[in-house]
Amino acid sequence: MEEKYYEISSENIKKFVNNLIEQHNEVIAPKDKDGDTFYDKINNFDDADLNILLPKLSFKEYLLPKTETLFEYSISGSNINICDPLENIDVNTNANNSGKAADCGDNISQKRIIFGSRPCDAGAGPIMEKVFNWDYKDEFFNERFKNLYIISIACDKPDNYCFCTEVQLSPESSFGSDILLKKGGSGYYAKVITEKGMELINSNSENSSLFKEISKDKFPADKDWKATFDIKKTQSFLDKNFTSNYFQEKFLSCIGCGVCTYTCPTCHCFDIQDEGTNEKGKRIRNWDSCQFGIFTLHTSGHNPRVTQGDRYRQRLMHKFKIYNEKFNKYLCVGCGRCSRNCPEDIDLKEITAELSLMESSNKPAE
Amino acid sequence: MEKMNEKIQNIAKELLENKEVNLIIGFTKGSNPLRMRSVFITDPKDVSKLSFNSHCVQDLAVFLKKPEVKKFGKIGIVVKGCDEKAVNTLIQEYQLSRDNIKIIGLECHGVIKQNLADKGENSLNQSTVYDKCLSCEVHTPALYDYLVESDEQAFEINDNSIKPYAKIEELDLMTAEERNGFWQNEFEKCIKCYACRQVCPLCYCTRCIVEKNTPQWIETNIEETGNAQWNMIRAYHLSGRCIGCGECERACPVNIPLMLINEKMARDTFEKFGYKSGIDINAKPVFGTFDINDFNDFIK
Amino acid sequence: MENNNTEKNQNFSDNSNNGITAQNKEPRIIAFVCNWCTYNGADLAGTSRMKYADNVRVIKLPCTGRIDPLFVIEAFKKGAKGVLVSGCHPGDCHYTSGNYHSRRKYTAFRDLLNYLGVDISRVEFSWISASEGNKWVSVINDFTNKIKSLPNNSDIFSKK
Repeated sequence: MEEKYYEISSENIKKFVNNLIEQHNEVIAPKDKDGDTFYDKINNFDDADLNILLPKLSFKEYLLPKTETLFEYSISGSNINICDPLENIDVNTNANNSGKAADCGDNISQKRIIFGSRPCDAGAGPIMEKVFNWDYKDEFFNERFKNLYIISIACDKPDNYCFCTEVQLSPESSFGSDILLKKGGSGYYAKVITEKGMELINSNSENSSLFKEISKDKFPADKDWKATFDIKKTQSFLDKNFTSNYFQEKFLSCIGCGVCTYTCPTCHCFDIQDEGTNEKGKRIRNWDSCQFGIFTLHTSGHNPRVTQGDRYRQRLMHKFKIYNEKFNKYLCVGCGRCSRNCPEDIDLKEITAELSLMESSNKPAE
Repeated sequence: MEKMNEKIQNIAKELLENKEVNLIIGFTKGSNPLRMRSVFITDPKDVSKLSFNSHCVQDLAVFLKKPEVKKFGKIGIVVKGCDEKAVNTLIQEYQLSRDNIKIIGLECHGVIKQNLADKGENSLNQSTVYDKCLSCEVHTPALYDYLVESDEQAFEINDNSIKPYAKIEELDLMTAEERNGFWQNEFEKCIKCYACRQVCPLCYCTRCIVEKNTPQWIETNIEETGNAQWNMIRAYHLSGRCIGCGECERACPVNIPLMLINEKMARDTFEKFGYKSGIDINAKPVFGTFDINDFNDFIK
Repeated sequence: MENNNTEKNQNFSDNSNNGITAQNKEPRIIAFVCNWCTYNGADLAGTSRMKYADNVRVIKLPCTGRIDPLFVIEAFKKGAKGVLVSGCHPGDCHYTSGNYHSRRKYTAFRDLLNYLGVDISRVEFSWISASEGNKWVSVINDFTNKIKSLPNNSDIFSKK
């Protein structure tokens, strides 16, 4: 659709969000929890904490929950009952024709609105969508993605760990957002990018009256964000130096916790498990991490990624080489969460910049 | 701090040059001025990277369990008093030979909470240090080969209302149901990234109980039940062993107050068995031994 | 054909009855007992034709030292309402000191459960020798009554 531009006052944005809460119930925004900020359901606009740079975790769990129920079974006597969370959803059109939720799992057709995310977080959805629709269409992801509406607010002050500009996004990028807000004027300027965005604005007559349409040139232009290094060079370093000792030395300090991958908006590895007793149980998929030693451990006892260096190299390769080769997108939005949350202070921006520099100075790999 | 850094560097240089160790694990400057990180030095020329200040929050003893680090054989390690207790426990539990480790002990008055430092906090005082520093009994490590004395003053304790781990007493006064509510709320946040396990110097099993799936002892789901089981068994496996470095709590990306459990178990172990972990390398681990007069009241 | 089907069905329902959450006999109580004392004590109660609550299911292990607190968690997880751990009196351990070690472990484990808000009256410990059939009967009866009198609590293990 053609992008549309609006102006909305601070007072009205509050009304808009409170209306959305009333209409759809599930509005998720950065919210303060014991001194740190996390994405969480809000009951009122004032619950949202919009002044911080980024919540500690991304909103990935609304696309790929920590634990997703794939199906449930129960057995009584000779009866076996199976419940499929997708049972009311048409696989081809993704439409829920009955309008009812299945009796198991949480309601995956629940409409959820993320309010006040940053452009980096918003960019993660469409990047991940590629891998979830590559050879196999992942209905669970698609259903959740379809029902997730994203209203993001442009960033004015990225910190030292941020590198969205370097990974081809920017603090003001609208990639992945349905509506992008920018501070200014009487409150915010809004850019509506998708039909889903329009749907929110036109959800009732009060909402649409809160937004005042403006012409494109009145919408504040993006600042000239400059990348501090060339990520393509990082990619070509990774291309050539798979066996480099750099990784082994650099990641001696990596302790193999999953914090970087679990807080990452784009890391999407999962592990399918069966849980239950003779009488009832379920098949679930849980978050998993390539940083764990057993992630690639074979039944034979052989482990192709035996050191932590191998595992962190895999993370770099997947994000900055393999994914880009396959889908023409870097599997990274440059939010810097992995660096901020790393207990051992491993800084991804520093590393990607260093690799880029090594490549451009043609320094031979050790 | 300059003098202190110089002393650490000289000791490290001497150890490496004399081939007494093959690797020095120490602290160096991190990704911002108020963050420090670990550094691994094999070449005496690199010792100038070594540094120490009150932002050195990491417990470097965690690396002693890492196979890639073990390969170096003889290792020199820079430790604060609390971290040194982890080295002691590793020796005590036969995970490490005393002959293979050179301990460069640092006198430490406390470290500043990382979440505060990230917001710009740079002064060491009663309200900025970790709770462990308030009740610290090892400002000078219990065991060391070299001791580097601090050239800074200890901060003053002038506010008696700040008690370390005050929440424990609060929880003790609650009913079981209220406590259950509190912990369910905390465990619900868990995302099972296992950072608490990985960052713990004493969680050294090559295969953790959660990774054993025949049978699957701990449910894998990242929901209420799986999270509660994981946190319960983690706490149990560390009760009486935990040396209180607080790394699990610091590493936790969702801020579960794990030290409230570890500290409570440490207090109970001391009360019931008179044992404090990490002090004496020759002591038997508390659950590796027994006394015929042990607490018996709960058994019919 | 018909016969086959019935057989299958029977096998199936047999299987499901193995699960400790089976419909009959609530509340379910699991007793982890040592092979040398408590198990023989229970055996004595049986051979002496003493009667006691049939809510209990006995799992025999070599020694209380072998009864990992994980087993207790597993029993709760699978729906048991109460767990009993029982072995030889202090000084009587077939392996000299297994029960002493176990006593230490369970002292800590009980504290932990209590601290995390699990009702510790759901876990019971006893020393029962091979000659104490009477004690077995009274421990089981008392424990069953206690569990029956507990309110339907909402602790960590009750949620599913």
